[in-house]
Amino acid sequence: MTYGFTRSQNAYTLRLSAEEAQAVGLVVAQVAGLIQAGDRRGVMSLDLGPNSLGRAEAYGREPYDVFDDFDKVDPDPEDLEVELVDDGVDTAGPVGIAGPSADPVLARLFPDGYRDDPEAAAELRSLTESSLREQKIGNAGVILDDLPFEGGEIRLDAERAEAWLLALNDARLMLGTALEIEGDTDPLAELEAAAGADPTGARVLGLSLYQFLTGLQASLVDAIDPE
Amino acid sequence: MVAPVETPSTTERPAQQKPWVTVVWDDPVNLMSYVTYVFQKLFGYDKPKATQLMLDVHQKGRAVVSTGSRERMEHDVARLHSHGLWATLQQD
Repeated sequence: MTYGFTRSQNAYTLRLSAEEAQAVGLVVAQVAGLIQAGDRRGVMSLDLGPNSLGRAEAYGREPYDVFDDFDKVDPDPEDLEVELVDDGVDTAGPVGIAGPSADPVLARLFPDGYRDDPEAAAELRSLTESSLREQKIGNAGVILDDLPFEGGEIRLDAERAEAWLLALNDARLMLGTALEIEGDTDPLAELEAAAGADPTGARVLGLSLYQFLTGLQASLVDAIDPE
Repeated sequence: MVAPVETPSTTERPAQQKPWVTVVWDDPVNLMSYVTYVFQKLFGYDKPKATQLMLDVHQKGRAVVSTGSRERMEHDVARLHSHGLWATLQQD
């Protein structure tokens, strides 16, 4: 059985079950929510590391707490819509401008442009970060618009496929950072270890989603840019 | 041809001529095939060149992917960040 994206003429085709579509939607909505909320606001933290207790620690308001009781989540697709609304968070404001985020996921999504010059890095960030945030939220929005939440097949043109590709990458960066994936990490071995420690824990869920999104993104890269 | 009105200062000139470079750093999440695709898309490199740069990133930990003015490199870094690659610029 083929899994993931295939290319036919100028369209990229993907078939997902309802559960798969909802899983992708929840992760992508979480990325968009994290970016939109910004850091330093106590919105949430993703604690999926090997030393986590196996549960996502959430505090403050928790609008996108994907990892708690995932199996019981039956999302209404309407809830997954992310809009660029003015929720009082000034995306062009001081959030993030001073330096890289204290949140490791946001720091990975919006890294410093200068390695050894915090002042130049801050200046570049002030020029580019709000536009980067809008791009990333926009790409996530394309996925959330296209996902077949009832299950089914979707067909994407080249432009939407590109948005999917970038948003899937951001979703994997978020999960990979939260899961503390390293260069020599074997995700399947990690999954076994995590399942042994706590089969219903957040780390098992996070690693499973990471694996699923990795396969999905790999199939899309192959469809766009064949070997 | 017109003779230059003033001779550039010899103390400034070497610094001005030092090119800026965009560096992409290795990270454990980005797929090798994805990084290769991004190098082709953003810089117009052919697949063999993009693949070699990706392998340099993966094996050496970093690779210079573009060279030019500071402004141009800042633009490249922002484009790479929009694609989720870990990039910085520096004067070489």
